[in-house]
Amino acid sequence: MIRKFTSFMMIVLIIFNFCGCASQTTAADDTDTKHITDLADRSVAVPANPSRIAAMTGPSYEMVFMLGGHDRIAMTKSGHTTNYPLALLTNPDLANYEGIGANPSSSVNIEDYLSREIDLVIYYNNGNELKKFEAVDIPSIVLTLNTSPFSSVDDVMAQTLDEYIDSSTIAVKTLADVLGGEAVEEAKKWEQYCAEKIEMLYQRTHHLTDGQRKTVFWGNTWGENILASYPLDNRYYEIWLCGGKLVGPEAGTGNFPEVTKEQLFDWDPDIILVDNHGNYPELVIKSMYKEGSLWETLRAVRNKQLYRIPAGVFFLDKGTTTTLMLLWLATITQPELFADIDIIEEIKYYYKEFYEFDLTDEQAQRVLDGWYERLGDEPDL
Amino acid sequence: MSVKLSIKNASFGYSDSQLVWKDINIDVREGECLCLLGPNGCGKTTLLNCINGTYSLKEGSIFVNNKNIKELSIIHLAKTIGIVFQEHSAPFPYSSLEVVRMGRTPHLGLIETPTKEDTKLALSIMEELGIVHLAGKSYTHISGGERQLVLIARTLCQQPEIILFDEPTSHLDFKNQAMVLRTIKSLSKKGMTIVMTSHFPNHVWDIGTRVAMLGYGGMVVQGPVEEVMTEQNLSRTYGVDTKIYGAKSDAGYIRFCAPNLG
Amino acid sequence: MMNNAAEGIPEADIKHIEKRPSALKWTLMVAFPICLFTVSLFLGRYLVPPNQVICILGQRLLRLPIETFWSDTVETVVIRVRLPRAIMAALVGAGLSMSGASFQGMFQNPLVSPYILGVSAGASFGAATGLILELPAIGIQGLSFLFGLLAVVITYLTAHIYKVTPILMLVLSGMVVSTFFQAMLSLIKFIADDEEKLPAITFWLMGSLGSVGLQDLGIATIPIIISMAGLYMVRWKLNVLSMGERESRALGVNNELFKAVIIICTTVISSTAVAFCGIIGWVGQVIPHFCRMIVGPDHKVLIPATMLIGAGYLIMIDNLCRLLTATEIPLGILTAVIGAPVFAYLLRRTRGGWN
Repeated sequence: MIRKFTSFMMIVLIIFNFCGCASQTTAADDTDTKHITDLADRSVAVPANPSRIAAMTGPSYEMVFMLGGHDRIAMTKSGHTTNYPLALLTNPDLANYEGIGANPSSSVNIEDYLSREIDLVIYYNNGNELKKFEAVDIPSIVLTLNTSPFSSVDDVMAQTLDEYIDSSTIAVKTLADVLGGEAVEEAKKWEQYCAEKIEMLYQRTHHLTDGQRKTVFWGNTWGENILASYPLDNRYYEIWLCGGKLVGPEAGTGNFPEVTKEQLFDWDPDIILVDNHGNYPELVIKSMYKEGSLWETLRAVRNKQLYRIPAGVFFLDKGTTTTLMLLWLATITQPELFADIDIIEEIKYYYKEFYEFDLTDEQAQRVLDGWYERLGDEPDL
Repeated sequence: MSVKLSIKNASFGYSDSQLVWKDINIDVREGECLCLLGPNGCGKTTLLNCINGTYSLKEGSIFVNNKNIKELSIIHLAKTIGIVFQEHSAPFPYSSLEVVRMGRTPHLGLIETPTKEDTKLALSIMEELGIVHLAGKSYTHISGGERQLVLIARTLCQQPEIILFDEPTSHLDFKNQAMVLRTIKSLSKKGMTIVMTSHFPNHVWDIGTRVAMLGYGGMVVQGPVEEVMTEQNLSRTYGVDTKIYGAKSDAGYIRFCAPNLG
Repeated sequence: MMNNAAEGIPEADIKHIEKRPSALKWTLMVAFPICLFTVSLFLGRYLVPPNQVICILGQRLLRLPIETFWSDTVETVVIRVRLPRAIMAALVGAGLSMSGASFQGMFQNPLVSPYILGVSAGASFGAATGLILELPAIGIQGLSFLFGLLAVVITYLTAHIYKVTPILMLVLSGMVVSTFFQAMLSLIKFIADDEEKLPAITFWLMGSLGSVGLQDLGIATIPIIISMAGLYMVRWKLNVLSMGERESRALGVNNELFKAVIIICTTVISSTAVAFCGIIGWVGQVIPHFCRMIVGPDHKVLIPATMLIGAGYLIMIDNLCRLLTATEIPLGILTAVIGAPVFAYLLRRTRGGWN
């Protein structure tokens, strides 16, 4: 009796397996392809008109959205469909998008992509995972790198303005080429906007001496402090453009090298930027301002110069909005020099121009406040 | 002479079904030296371990000074019964003095450490055994026989009333065997109650006053040395034809036995 | 049986025979952690003139009537950044070393570490769970501590048969429990969202004294000090225990009682250390070995020696961690990078501890 049952179950299981096999499809053999080179120097054959895009990296949704391609997104990183109120505001449909988890070291379950017939993946620069896409002929492009090409601060500062503009716009331009059609025009418009604003910043600040610049520390809130900073990357140049001077661990291992408490006291920066990684940036800022906090002797704490990086459709320092963030930062590091910039207007302009959305003043302020929601209760720090 | 140690109707087994031995009855009087003989695996060492309370009997009881050992605490047992195991190697190179001094443990409280008095006692015992010159030497750097003497000294530090020896001369060479046997003999002469297991029946004539022969499953025979040490008993116990020889010597008539190898 | 022959042996000879460490040795061993502790208060990437350090300590700790002539930041750095860190380093270093020595005696094996019963695997899992649940620091420390204890409790109960907990069973159970919690930790890492929580977990696991503040000291010192006292009190019994359970029982030692006491004390110390500082390895193994070379295997002097040398050692390593670069070098990395080769050298010198 048991034997019969076991044989029956085995037959059922085998049949199910075959059914599963049958429904596997490989990516459509599109004869309409073009070749592009992504930011990891990979030459990839992408569809001429990708229509089922998986935007899996952090900034990728916002980039596709800005270029007008959000209708062609079939799947995105799961947090995006829920955590960004302004993303939902500007695209209410986003809540219905398919979302699965993805992060730089996670393992790709290739069947998730195959079952949704993805024809283009925007993914992290993780060789092992990219191989999985290549193995089933799903085109994958890398638009953000986790390592920087610089070996010292001098290296970073040695780049010319044009070099910076190129390197900071290449990702969006590459994506526009991939998306094709109107996206290319949009990208051109955007590039012009960026170049204009960056040149404006440069004109006003490049002659400033170190003494005239405010020092800035950029930290992440892992736990209850902001000591996790960043390795050598373009931030040094960007802060310089805004009329500031970045202090940070100039060597460091990993993505978020942590400095010692004493080191932060030693630097005593004028301004501290609190990034959106980690836990509850506002609560950490509040706890630092509290009376009796360990940090109360820091200049930035005394003068209430702790700022959370703004967040809109995505974090303002990532995706297409870096230039907008630099405008905001400039009004903080050099308020007199940039007194003529009304950051609320600038945000509204950007949203109108590139997201085709009319933002109210209130909503623009919410961007500045870092309007980003996490699910779950916030702990009382 | 009072009965120091009394084993009554004792049975032991590791599992319920198989008994190693049963119906053991032995009385050891004060000052006696009882030798336990028997073939490999008959349970001599196990019997010693039952006497000092490490193992529990399946049936029967053991009495020390007329008290059931089950009712005695570990510390009390350690003050009354000392056991010298076969030679072993310790992982740490303690000095011989330190090893001997460990014998004072049952006389020390939970967190007490040995006092000067304890140290002096240890040294004096080592002096008596003729090993005080080893006091500062590392326990792991002395010969097997010397190590055995150190362990005997340690047991003496416990100031026990009964000492159990588990095959004290195995692993030892000829000279060291003599050293150890001499010490045990002198302890016995001084009036210590001793129970000793041995692979070598010849030791019985050297030091024993009584002998008990253990076979597979239980006692074969026991009694005074003169009565029990016969060719028949030895052959029966060991399962091999044994002959007893005698020789005259300056020390008197010496007896020894050997298997008949044909 | 008492013979008064030994009455005649002079004290000096007894001392020579016992080979106790000389007064000079003891002085050096006591001075080692004290000097390092003091020096570390003067060192840091934020330069504080030495006279200010002295005055701050005098005013705040000894309540001497000194007028404040230093800035608030300087006082914060000395009292709230350097001091708690140095104290915690001393306590953890001493505690882990004593724990390692105690376990090595108890398990009769000079290679054993205090984490053998699974405390570090359990505590890592607890901390990772706290990090992924985004609990405040106190929650993470609490979960870490609890799971560290829980892991050892499971090990102990698994190894407990018929009223005894044999040493071999403890070791095997410890391996099983460690493996289990390590697998659970991998699961947590797998679930963690990489850009945010995984780096936090990884960094925490590598060990750091960087997040120790004054309030942490208030909670951490008491369990560690009480447990250290416990181990100190039973130190001589460790000599007996190290001869093996059969022998120590024959000498009247209640094996189960002492094993339980030692396990409880070492677990509390290790759990607390891991909860506040992450995984700090190679201290509990290396320091006892090193101390045995200096003072011999007698636990009566070995345990205090490990306490002193361990405290100084960890203060020294932690100074390197926080002084060498702007970023904090994880403590666990330096203790391994320095500890493992030193341990290899000691192993060769002592041929595995059997002299």
